[in-house]
Amino acid sequence: MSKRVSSYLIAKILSPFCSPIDEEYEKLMRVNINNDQQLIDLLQEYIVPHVREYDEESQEIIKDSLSYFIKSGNLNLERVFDAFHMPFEAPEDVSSFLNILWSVLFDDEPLRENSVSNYILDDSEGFVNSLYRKGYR
Amino acid sequence: MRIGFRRFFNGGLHGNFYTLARTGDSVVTIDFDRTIGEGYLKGGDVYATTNQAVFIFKDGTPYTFYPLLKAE
Repeated sequence: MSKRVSSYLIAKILSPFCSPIDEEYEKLMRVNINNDQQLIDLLQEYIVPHVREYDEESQEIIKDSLSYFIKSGNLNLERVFDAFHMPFEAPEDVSSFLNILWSVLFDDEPLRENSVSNYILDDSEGFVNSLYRKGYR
Repeated sequence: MRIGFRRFFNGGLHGNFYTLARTGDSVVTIDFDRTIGEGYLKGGDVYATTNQAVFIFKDGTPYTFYPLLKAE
């Protein structure tokens, strides 16, 4: 059975960076996301606690999308950053960025076993908004 | 950094706004049944229109919203 994925879900994973307030913007702009350690520190501070607040079903959806884009290399992260007003230039190595994101979020858990052909891109409102915070479903 | 530009068309937004608070999420996208905005992607070379908007919440409070130019 095909799984649905969306680049917008990558934006939702990174949503603490979407349209930051001025003070946060200035702080985030100073981070070099091409430096692995700075990126890891940034993700652990902002993204790990954010993603932990999604319920278990939403975490599975996140793993599907992240696995797909890591395996396929089919993510224009510059467009995602631009579309959601993130304060960074796209990383020089998108694959490395996504792999670090995965490892920070899910430790040693392997990527999903599905082959790339078993995923369907779906940016519809119904799917993109299918992530729930704990207690909201 | 060469930034993008986007704006809403006139005519109001009529969508399924119940979605906004349903999931508790801080970034919510809404699909509309017509083109609701336009803009240039970062770099200024690519013009695009959209039927989607993104709403951003901070600490559960509406913070900003804007036309969502396709991320693909």
